[in-house]
Amino acid sequence: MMSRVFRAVFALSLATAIWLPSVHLFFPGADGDRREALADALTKRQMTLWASDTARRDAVDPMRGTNPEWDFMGRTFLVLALTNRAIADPVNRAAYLDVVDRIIDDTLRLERTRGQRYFLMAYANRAPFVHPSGRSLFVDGEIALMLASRQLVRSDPKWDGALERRIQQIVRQMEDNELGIAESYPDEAWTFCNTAALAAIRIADHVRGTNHDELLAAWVDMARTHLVDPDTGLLVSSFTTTSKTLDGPEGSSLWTSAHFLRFVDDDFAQDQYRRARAALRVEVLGFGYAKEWPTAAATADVDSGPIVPVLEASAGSSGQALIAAAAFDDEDFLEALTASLDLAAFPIDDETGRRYSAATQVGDAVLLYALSYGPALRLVREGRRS
Amino acid sequence: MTKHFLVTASLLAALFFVAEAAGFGAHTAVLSGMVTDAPSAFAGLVYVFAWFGAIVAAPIFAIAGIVHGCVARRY
Repeated sequence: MMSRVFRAVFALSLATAIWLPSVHLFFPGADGDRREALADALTKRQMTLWASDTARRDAVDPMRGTNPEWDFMGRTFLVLALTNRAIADPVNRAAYLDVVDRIIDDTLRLERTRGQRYFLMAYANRAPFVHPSGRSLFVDGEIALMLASRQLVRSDPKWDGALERRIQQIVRQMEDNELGIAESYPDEAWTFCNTAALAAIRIADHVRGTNHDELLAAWVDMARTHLVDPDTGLLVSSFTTTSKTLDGPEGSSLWTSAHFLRFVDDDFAQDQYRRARAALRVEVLGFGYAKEWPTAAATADVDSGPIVPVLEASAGSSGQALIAAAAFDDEDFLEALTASLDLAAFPIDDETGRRYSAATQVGDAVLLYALSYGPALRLVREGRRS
Repeated sequence: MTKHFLVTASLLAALFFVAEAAGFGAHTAVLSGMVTDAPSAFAGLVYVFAWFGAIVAAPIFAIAGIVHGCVARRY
């Protein structure tokens, strides 16, 4: 009897030891040619959505039901992806810009007719904003980023005024605060939104020939002093307009914030990425993912997405980690993250292109941006136009 | 025991093919937290279970069956 049990346990143990390290061979992740093919398939799908109101509603409405921010961020990340692709691919530039212009047009129309709260969660109404304008940097910053990125590819007079007004609004809101902090929700500011706005200002400076270096440097100095978690050295996620921490470092905010900072202060950005990588990155058996928090103390929320128990794998953090891995040339991590997507995000390929069933439109747009990242930053760094 | 391992591997593989044929894969958006109706959530979770059963567990049981068969024959 003993030998029967021993034989069974031995067989199962040996089989596990053989198979688990081999699974990744069937999910190699996106590198080289595979990465470009994946980006093309994702681009096709995302552009198809903007060719059909019905298809877009089918993809976006369920997402809005969970979180209207995802609708808005899906637009931002898609614009960032397509503008990067437009810079890199002059042959298809007009087609990419056509979709970008439609996204911006539609977003501005919705903001005008439904208000900024159309893209915000309901708690935006819980209290008045501290700044008298009552505006959300979440919306203003990302719209400015869309407009600036669009103009970076090819300046169109149609968008000049909109970009100038949006940048002025953001700068005014930051300058009116003693620390340079602008809020996204009533007395609630996010590192993600502030760094996105800084990146927008930086790109707009490049496009329009303006200069906000002093404001950008002052914000980074303030962040080093007031927004860095003393235990980890990582930027906290959310804080009040007086810099009191609301949420500590979170992967779903931190990875992308670090990547935005590359437009503003590369040393600070690189330092944040190194720390985030050390605290949040996990690679197991050839698959990569990211944790939401440096310590296992908090619970899942709308930003973290579902958290896999024991592994602490966060969908939200892992998605944003794709952008950071691409932005900081972390090839191994990017490949391991895309391998995990194929294992656990359930890709669907059909005549419209590729999408990931478990990722939703915003997740697909994030991945596409990660795979397209680079050309815009290079233009701004080198002081060139496409 | 060899037979048990191989039958388990086959059942896990079969469950995946049934879930795939039933179109349950389209409901895996349940993982995003976006699916709110119970039948879709159930179908999505069944698919996720079947997928990992087929990818991770079924090959382990199949290899264990082969290993066990060889060991039992030898010892």
